[in-house]
Amino acid sequence: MKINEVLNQLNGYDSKENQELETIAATVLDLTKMYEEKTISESEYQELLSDLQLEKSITMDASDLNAKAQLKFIIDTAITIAATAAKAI
Amino acid sequence: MKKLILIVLFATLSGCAMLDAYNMAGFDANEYQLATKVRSKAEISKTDCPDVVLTRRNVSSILSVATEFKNYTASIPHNEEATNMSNSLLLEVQGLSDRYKTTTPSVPYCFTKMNIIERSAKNIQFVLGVKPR
Repeated sequence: MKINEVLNQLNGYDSKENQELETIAATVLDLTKMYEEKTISESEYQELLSDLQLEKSITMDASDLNAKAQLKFIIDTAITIAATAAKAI
Repeated sequence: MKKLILIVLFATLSGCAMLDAYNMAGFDANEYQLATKVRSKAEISKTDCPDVVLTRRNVSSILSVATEFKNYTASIPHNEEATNMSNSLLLEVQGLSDRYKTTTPSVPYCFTKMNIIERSAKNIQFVLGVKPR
């Protein structure tokens, strides 16, 4: 398990991420249905599918950024505690 | 002794991740506002999808804000994830803009596209808000 996954699991972000990925998967099914029913053209269908790939990559980058922010919070807290302890000694 | 070894191992293995996190760009109100604007414009524009003329105007406005967002995030140091996300968001909007310039897309396409842009911008907005102050 990567450190990013651990941090996202700790603050509950992983469930939000899973929900977003489920929405993307559901949209793929909706799009296929629309294409089969001819309510959207083939080029529109292809474009929307590649947009869902972009949305997925946004979700992944957002997950990395969230983990990074959590790690930064831990580092800042550790620095504050160390500084306070040093002052006390 | 075991604890010390664990601490040294943790620091060695994830040293780069820690340095990366320590240097990361902090919360930026302008960056957050631009993501919020893209989200809001896409949300409002959905209802205008049946009107092509109005949608063309909306698309142009969303493209303008998404481009501003991409250019703004790219110039902030240690801001790789936000830059990647703003690039992806602009690509989504660019496809919509190109299509409205050359053809008259279907209403379901417009509605789905606006939903994708809205969701993407909402996701970006949320995570930008989590950045350290």
